[in-house]
Amino acid sequence: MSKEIKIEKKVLSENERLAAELRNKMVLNGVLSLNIVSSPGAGKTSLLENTLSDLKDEFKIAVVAGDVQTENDANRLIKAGGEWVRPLVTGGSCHLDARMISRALKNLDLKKLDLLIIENVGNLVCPSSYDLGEYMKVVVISVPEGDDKPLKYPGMFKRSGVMIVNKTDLLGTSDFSMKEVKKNARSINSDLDIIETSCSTGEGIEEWYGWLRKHIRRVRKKSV
Amino acid sequence: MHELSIAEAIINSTLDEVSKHEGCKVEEVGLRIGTLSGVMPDALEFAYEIAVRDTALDGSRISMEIVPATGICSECGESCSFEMTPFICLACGSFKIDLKGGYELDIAYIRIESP
Repeated sequence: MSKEIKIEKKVLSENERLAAELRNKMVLNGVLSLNIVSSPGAGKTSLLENTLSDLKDEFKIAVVAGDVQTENDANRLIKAGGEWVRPLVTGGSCHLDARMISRALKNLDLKKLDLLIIENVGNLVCPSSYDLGEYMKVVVISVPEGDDKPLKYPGMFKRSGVMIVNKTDLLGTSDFSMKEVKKNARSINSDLDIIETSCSTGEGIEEWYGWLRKHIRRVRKKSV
Repeated sequence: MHELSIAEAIINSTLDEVSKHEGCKVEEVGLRIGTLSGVMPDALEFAYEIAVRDTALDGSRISMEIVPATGICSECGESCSFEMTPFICLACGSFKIDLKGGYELDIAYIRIESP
């Protein structure tokens, strides 16, 4: 005889429990925590190099740099002035999960921190399933990738709070249309903030810093 | 590619549950998978078949109910269901859609065979 037993449980409930713990800790300590996602090569690390180099005297910033192999990204970020940078080599896994983040942050003093940046593995599918306890996801796309990316990966764009369109110095070299990418992104997520940057020329980077400052202030206020 | 991690999470959760029902054999694990969950049903089925070997769930299968992306238009209140992007209200054409369904990645039930 067989019978059906109701369970009603999230498959990733353990991840969500750990993510909620992380989120609580960050809010209590007034730390803005961002999960940066993109496809490989969109420019996450370049954006963070700029950010660390330009804002290191203004804010205390910690970075967890995820990669499938190599510590190249972490090394670039340390060179750029990163004071607390931890590589997180997944050895094949296509995403980071909340347990990996908890472990990576073990010896970090959150009281002194303003901003935690988690650089996810380059992939617009799998990381969308795993909450890392972040305040917001930042999705980076770049001009050479094409302007229909948001339509192809709706899960990630719907779950992100801001989209950075990077490599604007390459506008005009392909049929990529800025107007079209914005329209596509807002057709998935009408509340999405959009910032255009070029990490090569520095164009738009100040706007990104302005966005960071605004949200760092917002999170600090919440913790008081 | 993360379907193997998802399959392992399903197996661990189910094993927790089964430990409450001694001597029972699991026939089926019922899942609810949203179209925006980032999980591909075929890949999950394949991953489950591999991951379940040599566990107490060996021989069980998964059954998946696929949940479409659904939402309510913030402008006109229309309930919408989406097979494809973009998320646009079919009544008024607005993109301001408050998504209500599509992210599901749940274990709904297990079917067990009593001894």
